[in-house]
Amino acid sequence: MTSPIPQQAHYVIIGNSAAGLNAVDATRARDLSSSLLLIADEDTHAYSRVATPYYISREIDDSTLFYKSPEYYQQRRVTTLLGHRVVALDADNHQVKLAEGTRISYGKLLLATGSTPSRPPIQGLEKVKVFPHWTLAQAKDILERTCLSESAAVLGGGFISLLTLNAMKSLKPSIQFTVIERLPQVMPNLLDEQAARMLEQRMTTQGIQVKTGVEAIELAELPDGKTKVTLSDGTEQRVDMVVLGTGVRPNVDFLAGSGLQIQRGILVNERMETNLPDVYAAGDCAESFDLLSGERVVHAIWPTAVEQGRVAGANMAGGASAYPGSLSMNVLDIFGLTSASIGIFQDQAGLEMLRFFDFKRGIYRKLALREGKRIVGLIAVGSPEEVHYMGTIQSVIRRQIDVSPWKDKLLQNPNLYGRIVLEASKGKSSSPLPTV
Amino acid sequence: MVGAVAVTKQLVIHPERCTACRMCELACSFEHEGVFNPNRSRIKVEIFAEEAFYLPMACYHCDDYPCGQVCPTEAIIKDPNNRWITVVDNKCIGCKMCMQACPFGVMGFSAEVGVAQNCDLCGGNPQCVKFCSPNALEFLDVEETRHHKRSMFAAKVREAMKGEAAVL
Repeated sequence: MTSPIPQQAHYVIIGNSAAGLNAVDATRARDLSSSLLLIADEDTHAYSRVATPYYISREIDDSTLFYKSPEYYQQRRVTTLLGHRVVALDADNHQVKLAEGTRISYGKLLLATGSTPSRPPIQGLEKVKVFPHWTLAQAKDILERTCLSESAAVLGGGFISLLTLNAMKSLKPSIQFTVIERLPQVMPNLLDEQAARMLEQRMTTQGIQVKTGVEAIELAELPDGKTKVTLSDGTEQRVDMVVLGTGVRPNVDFLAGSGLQIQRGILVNERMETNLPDVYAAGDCAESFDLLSGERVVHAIWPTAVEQGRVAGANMAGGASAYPGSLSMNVLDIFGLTSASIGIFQDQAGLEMLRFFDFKRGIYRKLALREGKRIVGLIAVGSPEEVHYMGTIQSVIRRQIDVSPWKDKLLQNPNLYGRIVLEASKGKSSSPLPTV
Repeated sequence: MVGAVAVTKQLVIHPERCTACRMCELACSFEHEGVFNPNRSRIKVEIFAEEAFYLPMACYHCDDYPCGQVCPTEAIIKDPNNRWITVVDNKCIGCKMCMQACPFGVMGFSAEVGVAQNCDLCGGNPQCVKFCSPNALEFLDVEETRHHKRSMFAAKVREAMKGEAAVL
């Protein structure tokens, strides 16, 4: 199905993950007849990036990892060009150019190129073997090396780093881990200081060394095959492998000079349209806007890619779908601690913070309120039960419901959120409950 | 079968009849887990004691099911015939995005198995309904539900129009 290379297609989608595939579905829901070409640089059938840590820990098999059926593309009349890299966009001629020089004409183009692990300016980084974790190929590398390692340094204490560490630890519990985070806490995008301390404590009790406020400044290969990591505090680590998890950045380099407006990511409006005609962008590579602040933002998370892909796909096929803006949200369940956050939750001027601790049950909750009455964010740490009300609170946040009548009870009784949504719905629309 | 609407049943909840006895929770946990443990029930009664308002909550098997849309391994599927939502255990990686996406907070998690868990309507024979003595829970054909709704609404109209001159 990958050859010969077609010269044109009505829809061209670059990207074979959450944004790209949801766009395929949304486009095909409206238009099954026009030609659709999907191009991706990875030479594999679609797989779930969220699932790769579970692949490393051998908790899942290939049927879970490759979550789309083998007939997926065929059923949707999608021609695929896998293992091909797009190197340029020629918007004037409505064409994209492949690495081998071929040009493909498009009627509508979706850029869903995702992101790629960033490479921080560490001396010697290019000379030693490091292990980033983003693609399946990289996950396979990590899996292989983990089996041969007794020690590992994890550069970066963010979401992907810690998930990778957790997976490696499940695979081989004997490995000695050191996490090196430049900022004063782990998970700076997901947790506040308090919650991060709870997580760090869990990690420490499980034998993981956590070093915050420190960064790696030099990497060097030693004669015995180990890697020497020199840290900014003057200490050094000698480890069997170095995991690189210092964040990701949008895959937009190949678009330089195309005329596309790019800041951090490709700028899009609420229809996922870029500044160029018939060119759309969605997912990690797109810079849309935050639902609450209205500010330009890249939210490189799966749910955002799903939503944006759907909007872009529908609009490419003539729909009138609008994206409401993205709401950052994450759940993490590692080292026996579930932590979840949503929206804006870091302390800042103008926001009222409500906190709740239950030391006996190991629960910490924090709510951020605007004008003292509208919820803009939340952190909850404890058991999986804490994730239950995240969806309901999302409705409260998205609709910016005034919660002042319940303010003093919100933290103790999260079940109230459902009630609040219900009350706010009264009279407006029919109740969401199938009551008789 | 193209275009045909399959006959399907749904759980219908009457909060005004619920007494918060929580027998539904016990029936559910016993059916699924073999223990009487409300914490492991897939249906939960939300209790607002001060107002004496009780609301049993379980998966609504929504038509546009956000849990399934966000699932990164497509482990949450909707049966094309009965329209029920099922979590496929061996595909679920336990990432909890579905729980975060569920607008009603009714997607649960089994810490024992490490997978998401929703009300599966006991495969068509919901035990919670069987043990709900005040009949706050019913398992009805969707058509039947609509009929009930219609007659309830008609009764309200009739009540409101009492005393007015008969039109017919």
